[in-house]
Amino acid sequence: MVRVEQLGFGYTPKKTIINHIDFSVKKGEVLGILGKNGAGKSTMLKCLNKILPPSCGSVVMNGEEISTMSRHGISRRIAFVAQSNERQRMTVYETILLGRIPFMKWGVTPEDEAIIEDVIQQLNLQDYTTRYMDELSGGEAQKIYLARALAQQPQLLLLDEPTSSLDIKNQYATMALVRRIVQERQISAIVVLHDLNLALRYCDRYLLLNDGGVHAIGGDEVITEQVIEDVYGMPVCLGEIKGKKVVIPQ
Amino acid sequence: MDLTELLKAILGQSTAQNNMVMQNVRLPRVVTAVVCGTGLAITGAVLQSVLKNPLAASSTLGVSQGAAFGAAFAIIVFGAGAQGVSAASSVTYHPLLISLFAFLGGMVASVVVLFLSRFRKITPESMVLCGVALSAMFTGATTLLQYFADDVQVATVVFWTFGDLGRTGWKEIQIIAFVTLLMLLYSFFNRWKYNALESGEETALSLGINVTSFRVTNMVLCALTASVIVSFIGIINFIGLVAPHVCRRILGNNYVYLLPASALSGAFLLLVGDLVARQTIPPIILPIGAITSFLGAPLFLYLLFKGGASRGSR
Repeated sequence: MVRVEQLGFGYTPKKTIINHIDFSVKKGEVLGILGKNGAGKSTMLKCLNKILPPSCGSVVMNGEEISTMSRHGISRRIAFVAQSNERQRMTVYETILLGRIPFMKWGVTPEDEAIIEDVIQQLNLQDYTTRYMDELSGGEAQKIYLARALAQQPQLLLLDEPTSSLDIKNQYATMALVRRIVQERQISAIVVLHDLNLALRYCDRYLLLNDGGVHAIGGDEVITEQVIEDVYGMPVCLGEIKGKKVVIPQ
Repeated sequence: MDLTELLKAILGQSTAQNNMVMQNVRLPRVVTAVVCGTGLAITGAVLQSVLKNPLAASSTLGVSQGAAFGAAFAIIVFGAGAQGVSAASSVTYHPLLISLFAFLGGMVASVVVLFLSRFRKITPESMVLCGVALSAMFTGATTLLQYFADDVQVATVVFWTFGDLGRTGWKEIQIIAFVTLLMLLYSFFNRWKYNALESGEETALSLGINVTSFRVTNMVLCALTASVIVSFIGIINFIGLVAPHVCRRILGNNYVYLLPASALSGAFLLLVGDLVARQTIPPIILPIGAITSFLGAPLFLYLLFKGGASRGSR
């Protein structure tokens, strides 16, 4: 359980990027962060694990206050996959192993290796382990970054536009994987997304940001034509196909 | 001298003359090459990671030249190295004072580099241009110092800016080895952190690495190692750049393998460079700094023009 209260951030006290953000995420739940470019989605995500230091507010996870924790302590609880990752001349196995850095003392232990094996099995990456990252496709690489995040054995997974450079098949595959992992491991995920239909399909709840503040928060019921128009400044139609809500731009 | 005689001389069991030549001339030279090659290569590999710049090395960023200026300052202004009878013996007169000033000079360059990389977010190519500017500034300052120095001091400084492996005794080697070992141990202990840093700053932060303090610690250690090396053997170009890159081509970017491999290849390259320096026109010993530049500059140009591609593959 993660509870965020009155979270705010600004590069200067006068110019705030996000302010008064309140929400909570339960175990086994995927929360989608939606909003137009510049609404503060990525900024908010980075404030949650102190990549950017929040100027006010609190993030409490399972009763522990994140802001008082060391960077090392946070990395043992929260994993983060950045929007853009640099592809290294490193093997897939070595890349996933990076996720064990928060737990390493002198080097890689058999326990670390067992955890990596577990992640590899769960994500079906057995055939990839010896391949180099710079030889993988975008979709494959995204899966590896997810695996690296899972190797941290986090209670909270933060994903910043995990589908931004992927084709439609890989977008849905990645989000399906995120949802499966969250449910299997009973962890929480907060995902910044641009594709509303993708969000409607795989998120349990939605947080819509507008000008750095919360515009709406809740389940499917908060996604209305009016809310989307307010947030994105574009008229849309909401329909239903095969029992699933879909957003169609007008 | 055959192999048995050689081994005997190393162990001090040969004739007095052989023993003396081996233990006071040949062996210190070889050990200096190995230790300095290792130190320079590790420094290069670490700088390339913490600055996220494939062209980074102490000699391309101006750190070596800063150290050279610092050492020249100590020699000329404080007379640290100009008390001896000959240039060769004078340099080691106050080794720690020269090292200290070299370190200060190296740190000035490092602070400028760190500031530019952190706050101005310049490209790797621009960073090297800044290195050129810094080098020119420090070299100019060193020249000015020489202008006001006496003949012996000038000879000392000039001879020593060529780079020379033949002027270190066991006492100096101990100092270089201590600093190099410190750098080696620190970098090897943190090998996984370099890997994380290579994946991007945000990723490194999310993996629990305090990026800013890690970067500063590394820069200080690199400046210290490079400066101490420069203060005893002069400016040796390109070892710090070439050794890690040769290893990257073969082993990839995993610092777990890259660090020990760079250390070994740095030691090997400097030994080979020294061999070339001594055997090209015997008995004249060519300046080692010039030899490594000859060998390393083509590769540096290749990396520079490959620019974007080399960054992409890192």
